[in-house]
Amino acid sequence: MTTIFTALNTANTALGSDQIVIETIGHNVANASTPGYSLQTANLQAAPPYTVPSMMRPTGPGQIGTGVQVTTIGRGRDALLDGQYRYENQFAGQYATLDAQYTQLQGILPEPSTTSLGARLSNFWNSWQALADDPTNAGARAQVQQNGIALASTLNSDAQQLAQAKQTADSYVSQDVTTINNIATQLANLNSQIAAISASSQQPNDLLDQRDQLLDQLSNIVPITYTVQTTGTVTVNLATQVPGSTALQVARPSEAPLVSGTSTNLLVAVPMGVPTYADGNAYMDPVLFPTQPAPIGGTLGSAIQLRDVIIGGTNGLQSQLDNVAKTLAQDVNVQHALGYDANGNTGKPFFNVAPPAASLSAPFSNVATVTAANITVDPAIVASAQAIAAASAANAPGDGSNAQAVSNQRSTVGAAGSPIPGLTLEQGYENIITMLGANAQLAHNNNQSQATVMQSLTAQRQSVGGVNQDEQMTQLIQFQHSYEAAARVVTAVDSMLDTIVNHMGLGN
Amino acid sequence: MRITPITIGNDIIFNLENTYQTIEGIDRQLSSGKRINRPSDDPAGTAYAIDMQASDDWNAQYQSSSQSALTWLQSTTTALQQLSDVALRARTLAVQGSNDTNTLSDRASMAQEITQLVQQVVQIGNTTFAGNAIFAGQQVQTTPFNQQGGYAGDTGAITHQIGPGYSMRVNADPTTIFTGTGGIFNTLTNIAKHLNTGSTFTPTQNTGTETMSLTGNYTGTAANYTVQVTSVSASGVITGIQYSTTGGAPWTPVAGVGSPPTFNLGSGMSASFTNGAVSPAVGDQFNISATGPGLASTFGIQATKNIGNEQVTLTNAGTLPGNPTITVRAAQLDPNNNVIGVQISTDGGATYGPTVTANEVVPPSELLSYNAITYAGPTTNYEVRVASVGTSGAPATIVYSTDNGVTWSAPVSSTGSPPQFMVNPNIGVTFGSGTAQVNDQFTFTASAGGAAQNIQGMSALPFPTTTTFNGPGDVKISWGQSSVNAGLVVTNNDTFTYTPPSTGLNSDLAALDAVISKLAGQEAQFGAQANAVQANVSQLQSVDLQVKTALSQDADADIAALTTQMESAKTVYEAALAVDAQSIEPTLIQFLH
Repeated sequence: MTTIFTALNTANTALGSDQIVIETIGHNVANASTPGYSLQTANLQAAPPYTVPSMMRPTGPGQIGTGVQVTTIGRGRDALLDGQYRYENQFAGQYATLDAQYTQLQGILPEPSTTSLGARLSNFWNSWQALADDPTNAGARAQVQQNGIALASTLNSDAQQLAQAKQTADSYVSQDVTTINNIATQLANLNSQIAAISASSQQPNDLLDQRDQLLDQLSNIVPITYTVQTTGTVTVNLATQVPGSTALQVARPSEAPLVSGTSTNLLVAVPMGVPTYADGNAYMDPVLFPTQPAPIGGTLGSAIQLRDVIIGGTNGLQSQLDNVAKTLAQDVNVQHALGYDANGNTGKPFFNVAPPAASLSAPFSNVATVTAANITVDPAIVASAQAIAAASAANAPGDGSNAQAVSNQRSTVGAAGSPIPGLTLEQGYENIITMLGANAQLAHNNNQSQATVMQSLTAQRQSVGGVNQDEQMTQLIQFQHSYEAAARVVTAVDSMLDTIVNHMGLGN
Repeated sequence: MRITPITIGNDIIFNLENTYQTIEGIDRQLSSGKRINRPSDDPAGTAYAIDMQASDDWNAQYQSSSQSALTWLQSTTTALQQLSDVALRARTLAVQGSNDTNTLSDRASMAQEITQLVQQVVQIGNTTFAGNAIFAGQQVQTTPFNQQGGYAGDTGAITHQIGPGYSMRVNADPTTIFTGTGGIFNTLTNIAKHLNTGSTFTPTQNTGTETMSLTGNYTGTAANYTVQVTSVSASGVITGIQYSTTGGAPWTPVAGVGSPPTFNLGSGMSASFTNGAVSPAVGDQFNISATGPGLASTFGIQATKNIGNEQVTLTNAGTLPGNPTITVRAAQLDPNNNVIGVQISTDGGATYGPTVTANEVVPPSELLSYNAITYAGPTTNYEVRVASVGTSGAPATIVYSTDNGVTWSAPVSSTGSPPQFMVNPNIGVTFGSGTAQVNDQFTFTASAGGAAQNIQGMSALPFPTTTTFNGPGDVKISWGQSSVNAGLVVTNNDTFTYTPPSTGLNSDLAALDAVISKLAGQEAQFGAQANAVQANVSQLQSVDLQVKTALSQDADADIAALTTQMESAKTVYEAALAVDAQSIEPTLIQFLH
């Protein structure tokens, strides 16, 4: 048999639940724009009804409800979407870095332009032909001299900027390693708090949001795999391998997960050449990268790729630019050494080749030590343009045939085994630009399309966990009215009690 | 799908970002005017643009090379045309000169004009443009030809590349036109020489072969020196010379100093001699063309009369029938070494005719008589010549000869009165009235075993410095001293040869025709090359246009299309802003009052 106080109690549960709901709504509205925040929902459930079945239960209608209770504070989150988001996020990080870096690299070789290497090459060859037409003209000689110096210094400065870009990429690697370690430490810290709260069967929603956000950040830097344990902690593994062995390498002391419970296995950025793994193997997750070796993703992966492959690789920009310098020095020197300068000297190089040549011809083709960074015009020619060998015979001031022969080197196709086989120097350079442009275009397009993917995933995550103020307001009105209604019930019961206590029975 | 304001916000930001990128892309193209601003805008297009730009530069260079080639070719063609004009004028003169009706002085003036033409050829040969000598091979900075036609250049080719694999030689080989046996210099010099041989004989004997060289720094002005040998020692060393800057008197005698002797010519210039195969002789002569202050060793030296100082000229040669080659040699000399008899050969000196003596006439006023003494000797021709004249005007001494003047007796003084000169113990000669002069000469014949009689008197004129002889036909041969005569040395058999001008000129004309046709050929070749280069230039220009068009299409921004795109992007942007502002503004919160 229920008493009148039962009704009062029932209304009371409604008041309490509505208050929790409204508090949750307040929390949601307050955090509507907080990064990483996910929508919280107070899950309501009808309280256990009266009476429970028993032998002694009172007769009459039943069961009678006893009100409402808040079971859990739910969190708008989709683990599958999160996994997808973090998988795609590594590519977002990778492509964004590559896109930005390629823009910079294209700035180093700003083609097409009238001042960059391509134009300098063209000017250089043309000035040789102009000299061939008028070898006694001091202006034509000075033109060859100055264009040679400009060409060499353009190569020098391009090489220097490439080296700078490589160093920048190297500093990104150590920065990223530091960031990864920071995040890992925070994750371990959160793990311990979350485990403590989960043990008391409560949901640490806001801590979980923080953790998810750290995982989002981490997945942008480096590909990860993670598992949420039954204790509520998360175990994080790096899905990565370390390619190459140049400059800074990313290494861990052991193959233990990056974060496991409250313990971390931090990365170290070690100088190149130091052995990294005890087993000597690259470490990678076979799920994400089924074949070896695979490029690593994330901003870290792209920084390493930039440093070790795109700029510094065996086929990287530095080596390709060096090939241009080597071919230039060889083509020009060999022909130049065959000619005679205005003073009747022969067998001299045009571009300085170290170590200094001992005899004619062959040593000038020994351009192994020539790079884009160190190529210079021979000091004798820098000192006087008269040292340019325009003639094919001694004391033939009107003869420009050797200058013509040098100019014709522009059409000479590199022999098999030479730095630029099968192509002319200019074609070789165009190839570099085409490859650079195509890769930059690919990186940009990848970045664009990845941004769309991320946008779509973000929208989906928002759809699950985002705060809609209108929705919250509607709920607020709803629960405000619910609260008012419950209060009304209390008032009614109060009135009933007043009737019972003050106006029933005894005549007074 | 559930949408939250954050989603809308993200969408707006994402889409506005995209619109920004579109606008930025269009703006970059519009502001730079280039469709491709960095390789990633169009990787293949960038390579194409670099390639096209290089082609364009290359093309421009070929055009500039073509223009340079054209200038060379046109300068050369012009110079060749001038040379042709010179050669044609020389041909006219040579044809005229080979005509036998010309007088000697006509020929001499023609030779003079040819000499001027040679100077013109030197000038054309030294043509320069832009500081480069065009007829010097690769020695473009030298002055290739000196006044004597000596060549200081080489045969090197100057080639211009005016297109891919299209090279062209733009200079002529001067040695095929100017120098060498068939060259224009040699041909013109021969013509001048052959025209001149009409007036003077060429010495063929009595030639020393010594050479002269100059040392010192000449400080004087430009002048023509004549140097003549005046004494030679027994060992053949020249011990004295004289020089003149006027072509003759006054002479300045100089003695040699040192061994070998060096002769000071004044103004800092010295001369020394080196003997050749034939020893030097007195009268050997050199001409020096001093060109003004400078190194004396660079002056031109020409051995002009490296012979005995006599000179033989010919008059009326222009009318000599058949223009044969005439060789004249001295056959009879008087005691002063004057030539009084010559022998003439018309077969190049193989056989000589009889001695021809000067055709003099004895004036009637000075007659010779003889003393009638019995003469027992053989029939003899006597020649008597006045050796000295007394104060009264009558001969004081005489000399006589019985071998037609080849050897002469010692001077004979007169005996008795009236004066009588004994030329034989039995023959005395007595002069008649009139004033005698040295070298007046008479001949008579003493008949065997009889009285000296039948004396024939001859001219009493003074023996001339230049003696004229009758040559074949009406040709007169004059044998005498040159105007620079000093120390005349003549011996018997000194020989001179006259070659008629037409003989040499005919072969000269053939050589000149070869030169003219060579010039015409070269002219045609260079003209054709110039045409080819011009065609090449217009082809390069049309290629240039195509390359530029292709480059423009590839790399230049399409302003019209971009402007349209920009307008539409702006519209999208503005519409998005307007709609976004509307959609975000009202929320439920505003309605809860």
